[in-house]
Amino acid sequence: MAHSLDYKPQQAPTVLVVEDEPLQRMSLMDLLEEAGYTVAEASDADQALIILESRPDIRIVLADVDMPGSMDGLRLAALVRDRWPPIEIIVTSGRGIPQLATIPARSIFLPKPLNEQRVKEALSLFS
Amino acid sequence: MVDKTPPVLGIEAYEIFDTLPERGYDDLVSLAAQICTTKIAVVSLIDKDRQWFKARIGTSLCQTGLESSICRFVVDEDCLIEIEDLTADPRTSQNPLVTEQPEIRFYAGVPLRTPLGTVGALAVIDDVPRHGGLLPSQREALEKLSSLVVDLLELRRRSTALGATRKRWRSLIQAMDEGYFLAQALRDEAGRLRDWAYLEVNPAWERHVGIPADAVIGATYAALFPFIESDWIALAAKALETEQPVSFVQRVKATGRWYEGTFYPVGQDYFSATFKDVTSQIAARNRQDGLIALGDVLHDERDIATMISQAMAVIGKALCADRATYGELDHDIETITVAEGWALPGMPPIKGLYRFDDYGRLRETLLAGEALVITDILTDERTRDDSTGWLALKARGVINVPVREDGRNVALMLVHFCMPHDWTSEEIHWLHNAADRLELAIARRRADELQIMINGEIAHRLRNTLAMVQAVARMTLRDALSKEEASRFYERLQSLGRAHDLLHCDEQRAAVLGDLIANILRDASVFERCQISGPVMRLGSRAAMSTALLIHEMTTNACKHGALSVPEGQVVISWQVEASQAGNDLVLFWQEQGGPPVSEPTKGGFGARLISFGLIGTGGVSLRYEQEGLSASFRADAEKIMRT
Repeated sequence: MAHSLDYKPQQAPTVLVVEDEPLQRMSLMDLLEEAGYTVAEASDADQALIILESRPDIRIVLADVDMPGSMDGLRLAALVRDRWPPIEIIVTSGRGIPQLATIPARSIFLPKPLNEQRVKEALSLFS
Repeated sequence: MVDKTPPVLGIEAYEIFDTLPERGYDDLVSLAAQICTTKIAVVSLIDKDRQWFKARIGTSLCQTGLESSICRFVVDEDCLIEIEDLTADPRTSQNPLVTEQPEIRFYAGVPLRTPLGTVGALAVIDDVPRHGGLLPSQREALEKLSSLVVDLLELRRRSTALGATRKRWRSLIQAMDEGYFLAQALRDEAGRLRDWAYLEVNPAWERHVGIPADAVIGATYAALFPFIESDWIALAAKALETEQPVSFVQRVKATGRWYEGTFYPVGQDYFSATFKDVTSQIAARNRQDGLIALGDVLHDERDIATMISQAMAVIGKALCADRATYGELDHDIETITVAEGWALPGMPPIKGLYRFDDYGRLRETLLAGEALVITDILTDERTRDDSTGWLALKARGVINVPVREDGRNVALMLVHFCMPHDWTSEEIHWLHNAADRLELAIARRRADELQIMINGEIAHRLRNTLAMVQAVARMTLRDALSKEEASRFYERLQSLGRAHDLLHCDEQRAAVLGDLIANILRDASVFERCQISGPVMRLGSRAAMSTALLIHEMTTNACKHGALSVPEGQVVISWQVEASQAGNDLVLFWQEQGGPPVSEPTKGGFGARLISFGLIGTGGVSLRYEQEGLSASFRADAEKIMRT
C-alpha cells in the first residue's frame, strides 16, 4: 500500500471514546492522551455516529456497552463494523462479558473497572 | 385344576352299576359259557349290598343280594373258586340259588383284578354238578377272559375320566375372566402366516374385544379388524414355529387398547390364546412413570421454555396422546399463544396464535378456571359447530387444563388425541396434578430468574462504582501521586473488581480460587509464567476480596522485585486442604523460582500489610526469603474461607 494515494506518515491514530458517564469518559480520555493518542469523545451512540461521519481520521472506537439512548454500545459496534469496516472496535462493560455472538468480529472486549495496562495493550494492537 | 372330591377307589370309580348291557361284556360271557360248556356265565360286580351282573347269559337274574352271591367269595379270597357240587359245599349248600330256582349246582369264578382292587368275578355256572371241575385249558381260558373284562372296565374308567376333565376345562374356559380363542393359521403360498380364522371363542372374548362371539366363529382376523397388525401376526407365527407358548403385553393399534396374554401352539397349525384387556393398568403405570419423569424434568431443566416443552413430551407420552403442548393466555382469555410442544409424527404443526371463539364456545369454561374436557369435538355441543379448526389440527379428543401463576390462569396445558377419547377421572386428576407441579416449577424458575437479574444488576452497579472511583481517583490524584503509585492503586481496584466478577458469575455466589488467581495473573500479563494447581475451592465473598488483594500484592511484588522481574523467572502457586486441630485448613503456597536473589524488605508499606492479613484477614502467613526466591505459605480455616 506504499503507493496508495491516502498514504500518511505513521502516527498515533485517533480514538473515539463513547461513554455516557462524564467522569469515566474524562478519565479514559486522560489515559489515552497520556498514552499519546488523539482522542475524540461522544456521550452516546447517536453523537458517536455524527462524529464518525465528520472525522475520517478516527481509526479506533472505544465504546461502553451500557448506554442510554436509541442504541447501546453493541449495536453501535455492529453499525460501525458495517459502515466503516476498517475501524477497530473495543467495547467495555460493567455488566459482565456479553455473548460472543453479539460482539462484531475482530473486536476486543474489556471489563470494567478497566485495567489501564490492558487498555493500552489493546490500543497498541490496533495501531 | 384341583378336584376337591376325594379319589374314588374300587368299583365305584368305574361308575358302571345299572348301566345298559354292552356288547363287549356280553361277548365275553358267551365265550366263557361256550368254552366251559356251562349254561350260565356272568360278569358279577360286587356292590356294598348286592351283586350286579354287567353281562349275563343263561339267566334272567340281573342282580342278587350279597347273601346269595358266590362271586363274593372270589372277591374276598381274591382267587379262583371252583365248586364241583354246590349242595355239598358248606358255603353254598344253603344258598337260595342252590336250594331254590334256578337250583344251580356247579360254579367256577375268577376274580376281576383291576388297578383299583378286585371288584367282582367272571363266573361260569351250571345246573348239574361237574365232578372233576373245569379242564385246565378251560380254567386258563376263563382267567384270560377275566383279564379282558378288566381291560374293558379300565377303558371305560379312563374315557369317563377324560370326559370329565374335558368338561372341567371347557367350563373353565367358558367361565374365566380372560378372553380365549382357538384359531387356525392361514398361510400364503410361501408358507408365511398371513391371517388366521377363529374357530372358537369364549364369552369373555366379547367383553375384552368388543366383538360379539357369534360374529367371530369362522371369521378371519382380517375380516374382523380394520387392518392386520404385523406384530400380532408375528406373535402367532412365533408360537407356531417354536411350538412354545409366547406371552405378550401389546397394543392393538386400531383401538389403542393394551392386552396381556399368551399364544399357545396346539399342533397342526392351530393355536389358542388367552388374553385380557390391561389398558387401564398400563395407563396407570404410564402415568406413574410419567410423574417421575416429569419430576426429573421440572427439577433439572433450568430454562423455562425448554422445561415446558420437555414436560409436555413427558405428559403426552404418559397419556399415550397424539399431542401435548402449552399455550399462554392473554389477559381476557380471548386468545392463546401456543408453543409447538410435543406431538407424534404425522400431527400437523400447532405453533401460533389462536382465538378461542374460532374453535367453539370455550371461553365460558375457561373463564370459570375449569379444565375443558371434550371427548369428541364432533359431538360436544361446545365445539361441534366449529369443528373445522380442530380437524385441521387433527384433534378429536381434547383437554385444556389451566395453569395458574399468582392465582390467575395464565396458560393452558393442551392434550390432543386424533381419535375421540373418553377422559377418565384418573387422567383428568393426573393432568391437574401435572399442571400444579408445572406451576410450582415455573414460579420457582421465575423467582430464580428475578434473583439472577437482581444479582446481575447489583454486580453491574458495583463494577460501575469501582469504575467511577477509578475515574475520580485518576482525576483527583493525577498530580498528587507518582505514575507508579497511581497505577498500583488502580490495579488494586481492578483486583477487587475481579473478585466481584467471579462472585457474581457463580450461581452459588462463590468464587473459584483457581479462576480468581488466573484472572489476576492475566491482568498483570504474567499468567503464562506461573503454574497454578490445586483442588476446586470455592471462596465466600469476603474471602474472595481479601484473597484477590493478597494475590495481587504478591504478583505486583514478584513483578517488581521477585522472580517475575526477570524474563526467566517463574512462580509456582499451589494449594491443598490439610487437616488441622479445628478442622481443615486451606494452605496456599507461593514459590518464586529463577529470579534475582531476594532479601526481606526493610520498609513495610501498605502492600506488605495487605499481605500480612493473609487469605481471610486473620494472618497465617509465612514468608521465607531464600536464595532461590521468595517462598510463602498462607494458611486459613477452610470452612471460614468457604462461608465468609
